[in-house]
Amino acid sequence: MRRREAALLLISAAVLAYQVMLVRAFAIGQWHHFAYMVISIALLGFGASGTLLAGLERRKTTPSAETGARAGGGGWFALSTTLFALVLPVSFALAQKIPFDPYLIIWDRRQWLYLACYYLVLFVPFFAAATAIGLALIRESEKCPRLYGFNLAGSGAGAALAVGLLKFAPVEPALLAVGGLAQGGALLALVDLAPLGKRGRWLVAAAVGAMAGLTLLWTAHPPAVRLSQYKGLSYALNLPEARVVAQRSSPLGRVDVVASPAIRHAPGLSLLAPPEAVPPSQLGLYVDAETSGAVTRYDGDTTKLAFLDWMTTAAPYFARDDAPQALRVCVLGAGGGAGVLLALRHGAQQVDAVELDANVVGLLREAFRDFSGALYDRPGVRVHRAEARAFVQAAPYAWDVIDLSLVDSFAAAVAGVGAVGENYLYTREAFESFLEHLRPGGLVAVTRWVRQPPRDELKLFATASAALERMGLQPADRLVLVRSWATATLLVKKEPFTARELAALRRWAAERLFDTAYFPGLAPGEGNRFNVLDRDHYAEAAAAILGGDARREQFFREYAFYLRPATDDRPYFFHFFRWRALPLMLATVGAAWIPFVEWGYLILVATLVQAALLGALLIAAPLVLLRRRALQGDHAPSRQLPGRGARLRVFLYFLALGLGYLFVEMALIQRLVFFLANPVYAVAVVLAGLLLVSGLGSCWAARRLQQGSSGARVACFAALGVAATAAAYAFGLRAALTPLLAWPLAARMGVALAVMLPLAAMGMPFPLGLRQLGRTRAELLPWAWAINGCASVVATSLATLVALGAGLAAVLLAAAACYGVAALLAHRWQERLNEPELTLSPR
Amino acid sequence: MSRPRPARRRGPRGRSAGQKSFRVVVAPVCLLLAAAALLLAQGDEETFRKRREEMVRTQIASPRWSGSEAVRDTRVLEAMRQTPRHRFVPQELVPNAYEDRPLPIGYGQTISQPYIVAKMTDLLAPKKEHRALEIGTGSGYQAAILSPLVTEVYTIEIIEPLGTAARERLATLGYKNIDVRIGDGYFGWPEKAPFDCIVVTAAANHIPPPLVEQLKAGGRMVIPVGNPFQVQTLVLVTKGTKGPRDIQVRNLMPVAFVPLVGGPKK
Repeated sequence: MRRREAALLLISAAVLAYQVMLVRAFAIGQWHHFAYMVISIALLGFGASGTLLAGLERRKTTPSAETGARAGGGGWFALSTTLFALVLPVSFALAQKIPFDPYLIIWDRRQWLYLACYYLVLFVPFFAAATAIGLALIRESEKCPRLYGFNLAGSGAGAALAVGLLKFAPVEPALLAVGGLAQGGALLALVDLAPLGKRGRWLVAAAVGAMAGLTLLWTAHPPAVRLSQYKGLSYALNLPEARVVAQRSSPLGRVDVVASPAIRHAPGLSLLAPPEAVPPSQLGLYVDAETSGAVTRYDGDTTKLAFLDWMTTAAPYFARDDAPQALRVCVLGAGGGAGVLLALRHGAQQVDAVELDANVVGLLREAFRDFSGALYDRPGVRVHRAEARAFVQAAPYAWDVIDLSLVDSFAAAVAGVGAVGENYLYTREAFESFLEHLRPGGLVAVTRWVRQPPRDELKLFATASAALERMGLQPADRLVLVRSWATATLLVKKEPFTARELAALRRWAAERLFDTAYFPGLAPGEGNRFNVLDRDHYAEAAAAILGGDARREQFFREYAFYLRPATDDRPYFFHFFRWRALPLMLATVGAAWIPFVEWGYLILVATLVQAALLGALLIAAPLVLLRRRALQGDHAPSRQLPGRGARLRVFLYFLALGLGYLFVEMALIQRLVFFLANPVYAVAVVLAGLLLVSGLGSCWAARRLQQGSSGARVACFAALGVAATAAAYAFGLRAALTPLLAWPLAARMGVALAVMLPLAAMGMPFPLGLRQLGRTRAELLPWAWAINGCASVVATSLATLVALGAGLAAVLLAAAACYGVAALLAHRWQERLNEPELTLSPR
Repeated sequence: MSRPRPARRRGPRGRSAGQKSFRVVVAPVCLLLAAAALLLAQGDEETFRKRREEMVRTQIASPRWSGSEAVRDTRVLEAMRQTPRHRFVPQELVPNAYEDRPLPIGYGQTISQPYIVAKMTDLLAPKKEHRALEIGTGSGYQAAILSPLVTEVYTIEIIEPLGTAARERLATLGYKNIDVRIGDGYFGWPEKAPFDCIVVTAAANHIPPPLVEQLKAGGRMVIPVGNPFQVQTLVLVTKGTKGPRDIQVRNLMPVAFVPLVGGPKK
């Protein structure tokens, strides 16, 4: 491995790791939605670097640069890697000074300026790194497949490294290591410059000094992630005597525990809760600085926890007329343990507490062991560190109550590319699995916050109803929805509710001013007595959802929010936005629609639009530069831009590859989040695995070329292979993986890698195309680099929108189509560019 | 373009003469400036008064969007007209004080949109003989609006700097019937209970039951629900006269979405 290659490897790793860290930092300080918006612009640095490279290309005059040996450019490579290493820590520190607050963006025009500052500050390091990588690839386009292999392998290692680092350290110190990678790359590039003049040596020394200085400064004063004042944690810290009593960090999120006598967590507590039902002393639990429940003081005496019975979450325990023998409860997303306490209060013999975040469990077992009454180590309480859906799906047990209260599974926010809010807990298949794991007479209870106009609860109702129907059960007798002004709890049973159960529930709810929004045999108006709505959407929705296919369809079509049940193929429970409703909303309520809009979706659209517009600009820019050069009197035939047809082919080829690669990546991450049952593993394994595997593919292609294969043919077959694999995965991957869910994690990881292995071919068409282009139309290389960079960014949000609208299979099919187009273009590559294909003879 | 400045002449004057001339020049200038400031301030006050009128007319008495229901209680409208909202916002936001928007006041807190404040006040149906309790003083604006409409306003702020600032502000502005307490409002103000009106602007995840207890029979409690900048629902709790269990909760939308959802009402 040469120094330049090693530098490329390190820079590639640093860029990807930095990206992962940025998403993490944004998730803590702000909303992660904005992370994608900002980072997608930063990543357009890859597109923008194409313009710079075209500019550099323009300055070159020596004809030798036009031939295959395009080795030079070491100076620019060293410069851009050094710039990257220097700017990376500075840009992160500066970003933490920007007083951006997403909440204010509608009201305060300055916020747009702050957002622009974010773009600018974070753009620079990506631009520098992209320039370095682009230079390495196009200046030696003959060796492109091998170099691209290093680039991909480096990125893959960066993804794995970032997740690994975050396991042991919070974002701020972990960034130091990422900076170290970048500096390593820069040093290698600088050493590669020799022989240097005296001035050159001074410059190198200054660069090294600056890097060392920055590292020391960072070590002494690491810049902390700036918390928005509107985050739950910021609010809690304003409370009297508030202080953070523990903080843990992992790739899943940062967990903060706050103590203050004013912290009281009892979501939707009944207005009639008696004085003894006031929550006892609690510690606030914050995940990524957002409120995430509480740890309740417990001394083994559950009679002191009366408040738990005054929330709708307790409904399942009052819906049984006969207390079952040896009550067994499964609490999904156990967190601070409120669900476990509730189960113990109702005499559960066995509680299975499922929690994904080891830090939360660890805190309750260690730092707050006494405070929580060693809740997670009590006899009868079993803690499972697992993802809830996969746990139930694979569990060999059955329960009387499966409790899923106010939990949203952690989005795969760790690497940003994965999280669009896919969630396998609230799908139709998930409900089927829950119901299959109930003992006779058992209940599934799902609690969510109430929103007006209602959304979550109604979609839950529709999802549960669809699951029951698929199991051949009549939903109307098996569902109950209880709501307070703040929360709603849906109860689902496999058997019909008995009259005695219903009577008990009704009594219990009325005592607490909870409405029975849906009840088998509910009288008109009965579900809207205590928490009165001007219009009883619940009754209307229940009647429509249970009223047969035609009525249900009509309701789904007409409701202002998207309520069709989420499925494993379209696991977007939180996708409520409907374009159809937007004009109506604007016409009726104008600016007042703002609080009701589904922001996540609109931000996604905004991200796509800005990326597409800027991307188009950045693709046009290098072409303009190159054309101007062609017009500046250089009439050598190779200096003239190729015809429109040829340019279109180049454009389509690199566009298709940019889109296709990211489509496959995004779809696989989302599929494997479910299969690996852990967003962190899924992102790490898929991102690192796919990049490494395709990097190996590139290297393999380089070997094939040395052995005399035609580049065009290899590219064509590789693209065909990817297209076929993606198409096959679109139809068969989920079905093939679901039966293997019960396998141990290591085996599942092996399966995941096996799934990715055929995709090694994804690493071939791009570098082979670059190499081919370098031989025939070298002046277009920067342009191709820009096209690919921009397409990758656009693809990220586009894939998400396609998945939301048409499902993951559609994303994979789109990827297959992209690679199909690339294969076609590669096949007839030489003919169209009117150049004979040169093949290297075997050495 | 810069104009050439005449060179300053330095005469051989003594110190006392210099001081004297200084006074002669400066004193009238100061007086003039003061007068101008006063005039300007009055002009400002006049401008602010006009903007308040405009605010009440276009945002509250007949809201621009058909989705929001107008506030009709003339006493509430008058209170909105009389209360200098610009004195309750941070200095840099004074120009925005009368816009149809919430304003940040620091510590993650806000002053609600004028319409929301008016609507909440309207829902409380305050009467002159009423006693009101507010949990979450914030800037003190809601308390100031309630002040002329009831006998006494008791308000509790948990964030100390906000509470102190609000107390000083309300005192400076001459509000005599508002009592600001700094502390945890969860248990209400039992010494002054029961209350006819209660506003809870700081309800995190539940309505404290002690506050419901301190609500007088026939009293009303309003809780805005949403994030700091976006009130989505106004929860109105009314206590009937048939005993402590005679309570009704209404989830009211500040914006009517009825035409949007599920077609015509069946």
